[in-house]
Amino acid sequence: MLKKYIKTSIIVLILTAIAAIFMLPVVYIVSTAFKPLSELFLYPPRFFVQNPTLQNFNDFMQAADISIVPFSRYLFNSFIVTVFGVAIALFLSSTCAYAFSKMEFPGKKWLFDMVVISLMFAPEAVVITRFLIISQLGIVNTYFGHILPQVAVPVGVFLMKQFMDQIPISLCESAKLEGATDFDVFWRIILPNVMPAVGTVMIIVFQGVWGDTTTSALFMTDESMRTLPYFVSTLTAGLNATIARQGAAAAAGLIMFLPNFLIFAVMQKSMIQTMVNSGIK
Amino acid sequence: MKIETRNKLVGLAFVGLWFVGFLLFWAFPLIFSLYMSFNDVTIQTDRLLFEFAGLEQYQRALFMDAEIPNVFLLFTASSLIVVPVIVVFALIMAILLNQKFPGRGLARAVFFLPVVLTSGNLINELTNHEQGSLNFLQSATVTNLVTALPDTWALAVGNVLNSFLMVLWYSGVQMLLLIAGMQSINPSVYEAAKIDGANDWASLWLITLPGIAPFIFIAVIYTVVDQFTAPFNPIIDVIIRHFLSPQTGYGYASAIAWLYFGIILLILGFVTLIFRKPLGLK
Repeated sequence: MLKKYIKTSIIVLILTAIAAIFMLPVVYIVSTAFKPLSELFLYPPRFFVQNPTLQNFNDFMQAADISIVPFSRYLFNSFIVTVFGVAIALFLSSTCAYAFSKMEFPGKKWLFDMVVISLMFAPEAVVITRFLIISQLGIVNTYFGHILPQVAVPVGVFLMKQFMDQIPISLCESAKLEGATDFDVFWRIILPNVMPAVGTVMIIVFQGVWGDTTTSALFMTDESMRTLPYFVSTLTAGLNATIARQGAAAAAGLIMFLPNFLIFAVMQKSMIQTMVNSGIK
Repeated sequence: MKIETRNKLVGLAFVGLWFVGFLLFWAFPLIFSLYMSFNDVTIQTDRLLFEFAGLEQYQRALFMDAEIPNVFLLFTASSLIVVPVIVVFALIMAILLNQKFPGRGLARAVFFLPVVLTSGNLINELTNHEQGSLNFLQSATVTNLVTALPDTWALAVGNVLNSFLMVLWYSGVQMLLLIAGMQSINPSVYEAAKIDGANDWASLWLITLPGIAPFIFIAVIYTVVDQFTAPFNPIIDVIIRHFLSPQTGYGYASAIAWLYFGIILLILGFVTLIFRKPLGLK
């Protein structure tokens, strides 16, 4: 009993120490957002804020007020693009992974090899061609231009397929004998069993779509079609790089981070718990 | 219709939609960039002009541009250290987080947090402010140790130490994968082993690790891919710079991208070779 107690305390101790290091960036983002200008430009930079102020948020609001397009428009665009982008990407990559994992069709091996290969290619290297395709499709300055390049995520298919491979095919076959359709098997058996993968992919895709500035910068020429991260990135770029804007950017950093944090807080629970005692193996 | 034909069609239907997007935004751009890498590409007002150049771009990148081989070598060397460090760290953390202890839920949440943090903007913000390096690296012992190594490796090791915190932050997804893997092992196997007299250490090596081998493999692949396509990656910087530069242009940038891609492919081939046995692949 005592041995077990000691073991538990050692684990808790080690984890607390490492957790403290892990939390540093979050603390830093929050603390920076409240730093007055004098502390933002301090060298060497201080980690914690000394005289917290809300001035940065004021500056951010002012910057948002005088932007060409109303701030709410950027927010609305980001919202639409993120919600649809994530939903479509999740649905398509999980159905696709299901087919790769549990079905037979011509060219399967060859197609999956292509998915794995494209996984290794940095998206930056194909951005020019993507632009050509977007303009050929005539979806410049539409929401499709934001969403379509982001929904075919190779990493999503790859991760989900690896998880689905762990589910025995006999489970699907017996369900089919009972009269389940292919979609039933996918929706009721496969998906609930790979929720950790769904959660992980969701977080990865969400981050990619929510924080992305390339689609706004390259595929949109109409300012009213651009998204929030693009607006934030313009705060400190070019002619806008005044000293007051640095404060606004620090506040924007926190504002951009909050949705990431929220989606994480919601998803992490289902990510971890559904795999427990699912009894499929 | 025969049942097999029907099954094949259903399979294709499930893949279909995703694949259209994949062809448009991944496969075609990739093949197109391969084509560009064999050409001199000049930009006209309304179109791109291609002039076949054979392997010229590749020769230029490998033998004439002093920067490219250097950046490649340095980055590959530091990745060869970073990837095992990340995976082993994630594995240790996953084992710890899979134990039963008070506050486990909270601890897991804290350790997956890096996953939401590693999105480009935030990481850039942090590295700009020097939060990615640790002060102990400036201490005398570490400096001596590093300077004793040959140059390329010394630089590589230095980079790794410098990005120590970054290493920790890039292990979130891998932890998740490994924990999921551990939970797919049936608990009754452990109970049976315990009854047969196995201690925790033995069951870790004989049950847990072999059981999660496929997940370790995925974690390694994910880490390699993640490292090599990360936004702060120096090689991607070079590629983007050449894409935007009027002197060198798309052709040259594509050639560098494909060389880079070749290196990643080699490394992944190597990883697959290592894992061939534990995974029972042929």
